[in-house]
Amino acid sequence: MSSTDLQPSAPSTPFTISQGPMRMPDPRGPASAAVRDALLGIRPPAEARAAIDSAVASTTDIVTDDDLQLTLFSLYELHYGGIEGVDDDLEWSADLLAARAVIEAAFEAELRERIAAPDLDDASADAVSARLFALTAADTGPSLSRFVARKASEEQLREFLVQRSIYTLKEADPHSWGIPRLSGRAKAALVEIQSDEYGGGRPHRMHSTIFAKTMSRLGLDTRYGAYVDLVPAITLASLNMMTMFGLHRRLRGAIVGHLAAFEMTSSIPNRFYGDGFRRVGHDRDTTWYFDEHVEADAVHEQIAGRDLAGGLAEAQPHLLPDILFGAAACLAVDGWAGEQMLTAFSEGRSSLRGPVVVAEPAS
Amino acid sequence: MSGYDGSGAGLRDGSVGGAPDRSHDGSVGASRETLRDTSHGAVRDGSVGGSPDDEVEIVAYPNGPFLVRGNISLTTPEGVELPRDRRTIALCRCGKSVIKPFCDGTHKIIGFTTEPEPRPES
Repeated sequence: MSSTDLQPSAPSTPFTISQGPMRMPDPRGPASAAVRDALLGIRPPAEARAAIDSAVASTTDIVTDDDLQLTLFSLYELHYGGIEGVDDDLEWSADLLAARAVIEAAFEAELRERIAAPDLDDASADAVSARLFALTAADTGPSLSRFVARKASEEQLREFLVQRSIYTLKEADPHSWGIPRLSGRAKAALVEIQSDEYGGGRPHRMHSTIFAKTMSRLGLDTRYGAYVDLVPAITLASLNMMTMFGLHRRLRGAIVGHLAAFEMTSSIPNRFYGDGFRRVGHDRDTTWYFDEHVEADAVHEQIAGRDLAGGLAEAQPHLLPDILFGAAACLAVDGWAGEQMLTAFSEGRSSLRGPVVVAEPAS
Repeated sequence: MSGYDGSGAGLRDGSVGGAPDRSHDGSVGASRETLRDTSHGAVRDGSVGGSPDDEVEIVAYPNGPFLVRGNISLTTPEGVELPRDRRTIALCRCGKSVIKPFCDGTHKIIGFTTEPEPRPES
């Protein structure tokens, strides 16, 4: 890592990260190549549409389709930190938004087809919270966190961080889209959680920044998007789903349910992740990110279950099915992403699309 | 944090909401108190404190921890302040957390349950 990535601050605050434009990802097929050309001004945005229509029509599984998930990721990135060399105005290009909608419609339809949302008749905060805790407690698939705790090598731990960096270097951002769509108790709850995610006003405590510190300790590049070309489609799909839920007001129930399930499946796995890094000799500075989540998410899951999800269900009972769908979708998609990693690790191969270039670990 | 308190025209420059607690490592509660005093003082005839929002709130979550909001002091029996890293904290109620007094979610693993909260008599 170059020293220009690190901004000096107080002694206890090694660095903060910036959400600058990321490097343009390498295309993975005709749709992502067409969108790259449109974003770089090489071809008009309207021309990307045909490539996307064709890719959506011919995909066998949009959730793990590298070309389409990268295309969606790149188009969504225009709403976050942006991509190098791309005109900021293209964020609102009607042609690109229309093309994006084609992928979104197929992606959402596929998720709804494959993921069974639980039933619930009672929209009280009490019932919603209890249902979400029961749903997340029943999520007993193969456990990546237990593998990390007991067996993962240093190299596998590094891969794990690379995979997680796609979301975690912008941790909490997709759910923040939900804030202006909510009101009252649910809004207060979401803001209370997000404020903690963003460090409670202290930049060096932002979860994304603490994660970057862990990455730097293992010699990884902390710039956003540095490893996008290495991660599989399912990892992009996990973030794309959150962004889709967050960016569409229609799906506000789903982004709320997603966050509730995310928080409810965090504190215990994060203890295991921290154990894995401790087992191979990493210190508290390196495991701070995981240790922080053990404590923070034990707070957040209560607020998210009862006040956020329950509060929204009580205020707008018609959103209850989407709240439960969002929660189930979080468990399903992150389960698939974890399984992809766990399967590769168990078979002694990399879960990534190429080797990770490792710098000298930061001290 | 801009727009922390948009209730007074004089506060729209963000001077109240900007940059809480970046200059010291004091407790979050202290910083929150400072912010409140500043905004109330600016907006309401110089009266500070006394707002219901300054009261400590402890919420008993069913089958889970106590969530504590407000400006409290969490100490050892000797009065040594325990580190508190966030505005709202969860205190262990099942007795099995490994980061006591804070909750770490272990209550979910051990099947800890609470009795239904008593309803106020009316």
